[in-house]
Amino acid sequence: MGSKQIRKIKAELLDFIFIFPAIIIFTIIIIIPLISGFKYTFTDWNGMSKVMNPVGLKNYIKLFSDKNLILPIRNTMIFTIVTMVAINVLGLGLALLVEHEFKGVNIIKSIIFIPLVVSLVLVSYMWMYVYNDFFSLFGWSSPLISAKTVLMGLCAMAIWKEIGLAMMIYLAALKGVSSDFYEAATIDGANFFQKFWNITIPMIAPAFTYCIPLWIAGGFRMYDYSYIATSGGPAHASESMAFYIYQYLFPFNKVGYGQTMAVIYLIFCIVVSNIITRLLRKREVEM
Amino acid sequence: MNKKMKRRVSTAARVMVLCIFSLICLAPFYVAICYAFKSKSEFAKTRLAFPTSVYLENFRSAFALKNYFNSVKNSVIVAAFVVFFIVFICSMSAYIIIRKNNRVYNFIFYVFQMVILIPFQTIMFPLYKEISSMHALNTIWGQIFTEIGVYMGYYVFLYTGFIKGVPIALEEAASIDGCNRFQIFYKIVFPLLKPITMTVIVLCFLASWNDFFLPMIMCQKETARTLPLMQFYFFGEYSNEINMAFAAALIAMIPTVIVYFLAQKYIVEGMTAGAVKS
Repeated sequence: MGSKQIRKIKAELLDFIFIFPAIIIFTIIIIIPLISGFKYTFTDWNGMSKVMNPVGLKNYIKLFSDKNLILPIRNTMIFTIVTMVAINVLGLGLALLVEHEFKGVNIIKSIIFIPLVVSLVLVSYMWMYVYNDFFSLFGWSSPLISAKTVLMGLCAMAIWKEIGLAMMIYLAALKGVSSDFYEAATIDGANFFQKFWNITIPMIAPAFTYCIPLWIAGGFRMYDYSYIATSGGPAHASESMAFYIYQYLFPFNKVGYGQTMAVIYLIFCIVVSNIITRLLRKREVEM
Repeated sequence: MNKKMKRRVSTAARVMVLCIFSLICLAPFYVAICYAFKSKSEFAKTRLAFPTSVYLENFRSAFALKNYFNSVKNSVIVAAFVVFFIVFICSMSAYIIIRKNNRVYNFIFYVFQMVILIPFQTIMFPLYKEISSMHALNTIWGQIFTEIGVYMGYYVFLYTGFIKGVPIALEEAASIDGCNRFQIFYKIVFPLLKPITMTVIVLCFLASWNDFFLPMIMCQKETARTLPLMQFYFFGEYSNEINMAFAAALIAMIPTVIVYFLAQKYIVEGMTAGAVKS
């Protein structure tokens, strides 16, 4: 081997050192658990005992005939759709309202954004007491105590917390639209709504491509509100998929089945996110 | 109505809507403040009326709790180490991913990004077992280590987005002068990354400071609890001491609010980075 080659290999190794710590940590924290988690799905392990009996595909078969899964799936879907639509629509609305500067606009932006830096624990508890004390001023009962309204109660918390982020993203996108387009449209006699549909929406399409999958993934992941504010109740009405999986893995000690749900759910989340991102990208191009 | 009047009316309407919305945004904080600044008996009487006197006993008793300062200490240590290692590891790997830009490094980048999509629930149990077999369960170190691994993907993403825009010419000049890649990175590139590093520091601090779910799985032991976890048990255990619980929670929020007001620009830049440029 020539000295030139040795030098080249040395340089490659030196370059690899840059990414080496990241690969090590990532492998230990993400990759190994993903693989060993997959192995548990073929066992009836309870998470503690030394023995793991192989059960073949039993967990998978059980999963696809488990009627108890319908409720958490339904809850997760409702939570995801309601929060995703509300956060995006209200966030875009607020962005349009704060787009034109006026005195005090920065204070208002700061106020709307601030819930984002509050921990989920405090958000949940603040809202529990808002529902208890504030609502009672109007003679309303807390939405968290009725199975019919509990999900909407949790949705309100999530919308309140994250709407500021949507506002800021849409605001940044709106600022990027050149005013030339609007001026040209105004000369052509377009009204506000025509301008909004035909200029604003297509021009800020990349923001939609970013925001919609972001809050879909956020909704699929929802766990904290169910756990802290309602413990899944009343009568399982606020159990999300993530919460349901958690219960099987920890308090119920049914790791084999819990991990099977986790793996299928992981695949579901990745597939849905990819499809939606792709559809949005395609639309972006068409616009 | 002339044009000027019309514009004024529409601005007024806009400001009104925004003010009402801001009040809704502030309502939960108002409830928390009412609880924290009133004694139990006063709260029973006046409920959500504006606190008339400054009552600090709740804050005093929150500070006096034996685990309070311990949790503050844990939160500070965890956040500091996580932020330090995230900046160190993510800036380096993002830099090399962009500069090499070949199939191997791009594949690694793609795999790192995967973690942004996966729900933590899918890996938490095997991870819990693994950390436990490393005897790192219920230790601050175990928590720091897992947080770094789980957060990493997002910050590599932020760094790569920024490094794409850093011109390579300076590095080439330095390389001709005989600097190796490490010297180039730390002397030339890293200082240029300051804006995105600020964003990463701020976002990562907030993520770590507020994280609830990961510490709940990895670090439940009382002496190792961080603030969100302590608050969670606190509200549960002291359900008849809600006034004190809210006082404690408000104190825990102070660092995030300070960071928020000092670094708002960086937070907004970081969080909107992916949306506008792509």
